[in-house]
Amino acid sequence: MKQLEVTVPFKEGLHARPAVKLIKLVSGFESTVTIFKNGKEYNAGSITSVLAGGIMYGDQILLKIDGPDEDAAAAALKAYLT
Amino acid sequence: MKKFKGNGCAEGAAMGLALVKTNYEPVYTMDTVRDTAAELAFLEENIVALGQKLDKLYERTLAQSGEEAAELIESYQMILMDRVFFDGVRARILQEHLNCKMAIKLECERSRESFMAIEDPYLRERFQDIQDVCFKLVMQCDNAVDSLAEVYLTQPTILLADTLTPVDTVKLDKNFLAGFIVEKGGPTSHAVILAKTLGIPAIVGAEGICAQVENGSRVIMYADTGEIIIDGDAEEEIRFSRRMTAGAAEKEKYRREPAGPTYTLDGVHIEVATNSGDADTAALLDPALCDGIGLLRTEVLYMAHEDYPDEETQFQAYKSVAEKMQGKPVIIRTLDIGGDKALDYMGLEAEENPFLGYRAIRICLDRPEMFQIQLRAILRASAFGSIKLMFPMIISLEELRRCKEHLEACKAQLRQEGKAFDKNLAVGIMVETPAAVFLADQLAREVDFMSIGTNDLTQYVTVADRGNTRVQKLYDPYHPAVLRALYHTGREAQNNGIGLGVCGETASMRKMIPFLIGAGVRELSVALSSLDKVRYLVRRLSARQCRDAAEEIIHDCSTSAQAQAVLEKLLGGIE
Repeated sequence: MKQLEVTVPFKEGLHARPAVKLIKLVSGFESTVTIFKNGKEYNAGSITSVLAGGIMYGDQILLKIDGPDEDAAAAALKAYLT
Repeated sequence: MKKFKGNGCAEGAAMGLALVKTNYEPVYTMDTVRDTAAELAFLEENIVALGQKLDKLYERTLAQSGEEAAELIESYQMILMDRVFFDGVRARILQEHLNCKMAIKLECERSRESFMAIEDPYLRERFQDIQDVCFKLVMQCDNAVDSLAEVYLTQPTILLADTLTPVDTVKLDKNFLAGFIVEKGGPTSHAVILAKTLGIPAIVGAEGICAQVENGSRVIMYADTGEIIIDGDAEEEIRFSRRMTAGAAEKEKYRREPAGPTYTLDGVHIEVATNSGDADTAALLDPALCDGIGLLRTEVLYMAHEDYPDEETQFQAYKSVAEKMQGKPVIIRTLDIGGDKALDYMGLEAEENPFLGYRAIRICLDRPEMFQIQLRAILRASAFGSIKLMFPMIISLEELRRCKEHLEACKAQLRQEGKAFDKNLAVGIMVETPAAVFLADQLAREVDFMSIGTNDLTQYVTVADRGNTRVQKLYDPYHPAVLRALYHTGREAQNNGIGLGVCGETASMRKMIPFLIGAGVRELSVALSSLDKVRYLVRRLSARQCRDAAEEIIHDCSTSAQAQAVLEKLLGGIE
């Protein structure tokens, strides 16, 4: 399992376009990606989950990536979210 | 023949066949199902069917309206493919034996709870999209038809609906849309904005009309009177055709009016300027066709970026407008924005009364760094043309003085830095609050000019929200109180020898122009498309007669109708 700590760089938070891009990115990998914010978890492959997370600009989130292609997934996510 | 009335919000008259958006009301029951496997299969079937419709819609939207509009459909597709959400629905079917529609509904409700807990209003609103997809899915389960989606327009059509959302209109062939009639909504609703963009009329506030009109009925609509005629008789048809011919003739008559300085019959110079700030107007701006820019809205700069526009960006933008206008005056209004326009990076919260809230100059005085950046940019640009500075939403002398203190601070900074600016930069205010009208005498002594924002002023004076269908009718530019406010402001401007302009919609209204001139207004700032009309009218008016009419209205008229009659009489002599 890989972990990634990120500060959300998108000015409008994780919604609409950035959320759609994130989910597309995540669906391209087999690994499951979970976002942890303030002790709650959200499935990064589910748009309703990501939107419900209300993740805003500057939020510190933790991503857990688990699966056969977790290295590639973590690298791609790191590139997208930093 | 049936007749209805509403409030015209986008100009024009049109005729076409009615297309009525029907509201589908699904019926939900708590019925349980025995064969959960079959119910699950039913769910899958409908998800697939809706998915196919969305795919087709995506392609059409992309082709017709471009990528950004298509992204909206794409997010709908993603919601439909959301495994987590639909696993929840499936669980309810499997474990609770709920029927498919109810399972969807309950899962949607559960989602709502998490969304309502989100602080950010824009993110919170995204629940709307989830709700919409669920609704469409339930409709699919019932095999109900989305009245707008399946229609291919082939003739001029007038759309009737309770409200229209961007998703409703994105699918329709714009070439055949002749007009919109909605039951709810106001001047900022989607239907009106789209109508203005397409150049077609829109009437709002036509409550109850959808239930009484059948698809295919012949509709005639007049936005200026708000009249709607269904299946009109021969007389109505003739009336419409005359109106179309007259409309075309009028446009032609204005079009032929020569450019150049505008003087009334008795030689009073009226500056005919234009309002600008958006990209479309900027592209079409021609200094030969106007006397300057009476209002340069700067909000667009702030809305176009994902962060505060820096000084350099603003400076370049203002400088380029100043240069483009080749020495003709450009009045730049500092940021005039509020919670009703979502600007995420500004962190403006949703307010209960945005028009009475934290907006415009209040935000600027509260965020001095941001304010001074804009002031510096405007000052620096003033070295490259003829720029004037204007503060919006002023309610007191104190406020004005604070603004000027910031301005002086910026001037001192620039002097130290050796950067050039116009030392005689004219400073003015927008008169758009009742407070400013009452204090016009005090304010006039400390500014170089004033410009009346009639749209907001009328709302604040009549205490009527244009966007609220119940009270829209109270918003009347010819309301005696509004006319008095204008007249009073004109008097104080004259007493103090300062210039007075008007930059609201009324500046281009035929009957209002003589009143404004009569009240002492000497600058009319209008939309680009109205420049020739204003020149045409001003050149055929006598300022003295206008003044007499204004006096008569203030002293002898007690109703809007009376005032308008006086003005109509004055205009009667003009072709």
